[in-house]
Formats: sequence, structure tokens, C-alpha cells
Amino acid sequence: MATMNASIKRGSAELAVLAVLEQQPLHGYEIARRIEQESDGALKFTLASLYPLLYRMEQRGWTKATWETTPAGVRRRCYGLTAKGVKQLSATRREWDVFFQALSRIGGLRRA
Amino acid sequence: MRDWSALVRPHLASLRVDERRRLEIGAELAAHLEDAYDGALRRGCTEAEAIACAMERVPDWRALAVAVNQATDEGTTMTRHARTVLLPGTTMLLAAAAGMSVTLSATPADRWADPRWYVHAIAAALALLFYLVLGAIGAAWSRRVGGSPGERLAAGAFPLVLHVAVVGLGVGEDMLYALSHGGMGRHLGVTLISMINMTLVMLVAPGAALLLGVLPFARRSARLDAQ
Repeated sequence: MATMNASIKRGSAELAVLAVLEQQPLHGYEIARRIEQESDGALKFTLASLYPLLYRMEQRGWTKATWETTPAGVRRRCYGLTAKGVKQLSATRREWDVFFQALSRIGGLRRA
Repeated sequence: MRDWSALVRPHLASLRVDERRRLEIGAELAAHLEDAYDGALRRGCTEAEAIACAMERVPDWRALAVAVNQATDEGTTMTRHARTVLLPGTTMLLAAAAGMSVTLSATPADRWADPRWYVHAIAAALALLFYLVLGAIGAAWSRRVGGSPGERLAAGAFPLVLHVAVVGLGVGEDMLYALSHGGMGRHLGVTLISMINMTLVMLVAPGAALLLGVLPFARRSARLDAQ
């Protein structure tokens, strides 16, 4: 159960990050802030959960990171989705769709 | 303005990455904390509340370092020891073998029996200097790719493997000779003396030179860490 819990957590975090990056390239803090905002605070990232995930996604070629200077003159490492990342996002969305449908079916059976 | 980089840097000492990547990760995490702090101030928090808000993002620095190490290791094609010990160590070993081979083939046979002591002293000093440099390069290379002090020592001292092999062969040959010419008893004294000599010349001296070369790189670079 612990393994399943960890993989569900990681899978959902990957989906959340890929989904916010689909809109535009963002740096780490902005990724975490948007996910927190768009999930009404349900999904919160610590540095220990966000950055290892971002580094993994970069190594897998799903994202590409570049140092950019913001209008305020500060340097931030921005992550953008690659073509491989876009494909991965679609695949992850499909997997989660199937997962949620299965859960609702089970839930429905139990209610009946 | 707080120096977030100075706050983050000490917690990244255990990352198994090269210095350039360590600095990059440090800069990125510091920027995140700075943004969290600025965001809290903009929302009307006090200075203390803003700092607390930023620090909430890192409840456990050790867990962060472990998670980053796991993520980094997952993406490397070579295993950690291959990168930090075997690759630099084997390269230094090959350099030592090449140096040994060139010296043996380029030195005229009569030079080995030269009666002047200083000829041998100069040759020995040059050989030890060469080993000192090899030890230093091996350890520096290992440090550059994120090697721990132990891994730097192993990479720098790696050419000793060659010497152990040579000494092993020499001792084995000596023993075989002793056995085939009347048994160990007759030649034991000669064998022991040659073993001690060989150990001193082939293991202790080059080992000490390699270790001397490793020493300056055995500790983490204060200069690189300070950047």
C-alpha cells in the first residue's frame, strides 16, 4: 500500500507539473504557486518534492530548463515542455482518466 | 535583503553532483525561497512571517538532499563509482603504465647500472613527482564529478593497482625460482630481502607520492563552495 501510495503521489505530481507547463514555461516557485492556486491549496509542494521531480523530468527529456532573466533583473531557471513532454502529458492524462473511471465504477458498485 | 544562497549552500554539501551543478541547484533553490519570501511580504506578512513562510518550503533539508541525489542518480548512465573512481583511476593507471613503459624502453641498459648515486636519485625524484601529479589529477577529477573524499583517495591512489600486480608477479616469480632451485629454505633470505626492497620501491614510495598528490583535493573546495 505504501508503494502504491508513493507511486500515486508521484504520478499525480507529474501530471500537475506537466499540465501547468503546458500553458507556458515557468520557474520552480511559479510552478508550485500555480499548482497550489489552481488546486485551491489541495496540492502543495515542498522543495524536496518539487525539485527532484523537475530534475527527473528534465533527465527524461520531458522538459528543458534554461536560465532566464526576469523583467526585474533576477535570474530564474525556467522549465518548458518538450515534444516528448507533450506526448507524456497526453499519456498521463489518459492513464488518470482510466484510473478515475475505474474508481468511480467501483464506488458505484459499492453504493449499490 | 537576506542572502538565501548562503542559507541553502551548507545543506547541499552531501549532493553527489559536480561543483557546477551544485552551484546551479543552490542558486535555483535560493531563488525559490527568495520568491516565497517576497510573495509573503507582498501579501502583507511581517518580515518574520515571510521568513517562516519561505522556510516552510523546506521542512527537512536532509530529505531534500536525499531526494535530489536519488533523482540525479536515476538519470546517470554510468554508476556513481564508475564516474568518481573507475574512470579517473583507470586513466591515471594507464598514464602510469605508459610512463613506466616509456621510461623502460627509452633508458639505455647501462644507465640502470650507473655507479653515480645522484643519477638514480634524480630518476627516483622525477618518478615520484610524476606519481604525485597523477595522484593529484585523479583526485581532482573525482572531486570535479562529485566524488566523496574516500572516492577521491581511491581515484588518486588507483595506479597502485598496477604496482601491486607487478610486485605480485615479481614475488611469485621469485618464489617459483626458489622452489625450482632447491626449495624455499635455501633462497628464503634472498627472497625476503628482494620482497622488502620491491615493496619499498614499488609500493611504499609511489603510494606515498600518490597520497601526497591526493591530499590537497581530499577536502571539499572552500573556494568553489563559496561561489
